[in-house]
Amino acid sequence: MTGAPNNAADEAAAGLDLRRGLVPRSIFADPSVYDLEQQQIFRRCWLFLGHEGQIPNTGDYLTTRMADTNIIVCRDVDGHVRALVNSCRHRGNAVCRTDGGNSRTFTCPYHGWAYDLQGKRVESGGLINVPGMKPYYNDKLDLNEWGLVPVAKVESYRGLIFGTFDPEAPTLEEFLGEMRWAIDMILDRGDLRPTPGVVRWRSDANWKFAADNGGDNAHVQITHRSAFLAFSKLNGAPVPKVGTANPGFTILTKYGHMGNFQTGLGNHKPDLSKGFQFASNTGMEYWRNRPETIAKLGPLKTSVMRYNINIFPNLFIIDRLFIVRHPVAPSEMEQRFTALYDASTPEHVQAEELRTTYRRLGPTGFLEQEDGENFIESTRGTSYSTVMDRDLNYAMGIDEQEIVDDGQSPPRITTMLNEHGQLWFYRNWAAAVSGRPWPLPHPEAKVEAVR
Amino acid sequence: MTQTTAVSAADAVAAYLRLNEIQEMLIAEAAILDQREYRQWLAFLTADVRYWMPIRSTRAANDVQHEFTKLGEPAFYDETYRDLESRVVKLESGWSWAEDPPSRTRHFVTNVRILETRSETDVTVESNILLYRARLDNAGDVWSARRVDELRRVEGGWKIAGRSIYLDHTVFNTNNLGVFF
Repeated sequence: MTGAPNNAADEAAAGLDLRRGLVPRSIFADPSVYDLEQQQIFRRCWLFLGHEGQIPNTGDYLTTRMADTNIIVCRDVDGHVRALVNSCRHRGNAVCRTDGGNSRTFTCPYHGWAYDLQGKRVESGGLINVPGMKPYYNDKLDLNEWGLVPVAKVESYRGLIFGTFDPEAPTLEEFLGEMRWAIDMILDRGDLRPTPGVVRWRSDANWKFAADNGGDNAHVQITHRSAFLAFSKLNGAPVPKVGTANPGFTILTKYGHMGNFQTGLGNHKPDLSKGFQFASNTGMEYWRNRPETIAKLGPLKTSVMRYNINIFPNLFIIDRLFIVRHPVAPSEMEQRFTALYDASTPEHVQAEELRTTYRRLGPTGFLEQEDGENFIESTRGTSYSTVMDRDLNYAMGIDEQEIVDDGQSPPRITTMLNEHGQLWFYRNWAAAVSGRPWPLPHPEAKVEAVR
Repeated sequence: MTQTTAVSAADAVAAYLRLNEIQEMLIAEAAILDQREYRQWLAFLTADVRYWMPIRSTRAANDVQHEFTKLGEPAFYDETYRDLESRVVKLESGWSWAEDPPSRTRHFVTNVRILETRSETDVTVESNILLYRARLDNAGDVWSARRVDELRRVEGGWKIAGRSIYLDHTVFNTNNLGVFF
């Protein structure tokens, strides 16, 4: 094992014993842990803000969250994406109270301080007018000093906008690191653009249970059994058995990103006239039949038919959905998701893919109804003081792994039935909450380090 | 010059009876849903039904035309009869944890009015719906919405050929929704 020397100490300090697959209950319920996460994770890591296609024109904006903070993301006159804290410097009020739109200025409803987030002054927070400047302030208020607080760094990767409050954070490209392999795989499959509409819902659940579910392939046969039984009854689809190992692999990369990738060939064109389908495979018959797409992807990426990816800390990617789990309180999160669609496919295929996606996921989703129930129950159960010393078990497949490093992908574990993704997430979580400066102490040897 | 519309007494009575029939159907439908008789609920729908609930966002007063996603764009529900039947089969499977133990619901249907009468058997009806859902030991979730139903009179009764549900919420304040509006 060639992990950085501080990993074990960080994990011990946070009460984790990952070599035995043990995660303490307290990290889900303890308000002081939540506060630590807000400081050390959500004020330091790159957080997903949206897609550039959601704000294509000057003045377009959307509002979202980073940590506990409401953020305005907008496009300025020079075409740059800006992100600023939505809080007037005078009394703290929101200067924008909508979810999106197009506006050149944002005016605080309290005393009228006005901010131009598209203009040249946006560098200094955009304050352009304070009513009563002469009679109230004798012209002595410096507009440059009282602009909205900008997010320290805002960068995009292939249209995906991220921001961080930490000026010391590595570049976005460095942060996404080798997991760009997976993001590229998704984006190279078509002409992906964002759809209108952001699904938002709140759950009485700790955000980490949703994040670690991204590495969980053992829940599918139980949690989602009702969905499979329904497909089976209506379409004759097989109901997966517990322990069935779907072909696929697991990838863990620097800074805590993890992904599971299920492989399978064929075009899998679903017969949607028979009702709901499990997989969002609509459109696969398009990109898999385009020679230039296949050539760009290469054989391994072409073979991937389904994937769950968690970009540390809280961006989950499934199919073409980008779901952010925003912590709101130790036992509450707000999820927001935005879908991309493939503009290179015929319109009816685009519509069918969207319908299939939204039927499965979100609060009304055929599948996600049950996931939501699980996250709430995990959160409730880990709050019990009487069993706080009984750790949770993340030891599945902990000693059994085969790693392939053939240059086709970052090194990959050759199965999906393991909990290495979750262990990797918590290992990096421990490193991040330790508060050490960048680069966060991470095991150099990737997957070996989870042992 | 004002134009007076002559409505015969017979037409007025027919319209009243139609509204009354429709209200009775909507109330019966609500009762079936609250009794969790989902198979019977499917019988209220036509085979070509479209059940749709768009996503809403907060917009400025001069931008409210962009509040809801449009048909064909992302939606909480955009379902055919077959899709709804899939959901019922799921609920009946015995493994649908989000609804087992089942939610306790109450559908309050009010403000029913006919928006458009295309024929004696083809109308558009608006109603307000308040859906209360208590689950496990939770105090309960409430959804408020405007419904616009396309109703068709077939085989001596009214059936739902289209239902659009316009939520008053932009954020679901609960983790899931496995029952119907």
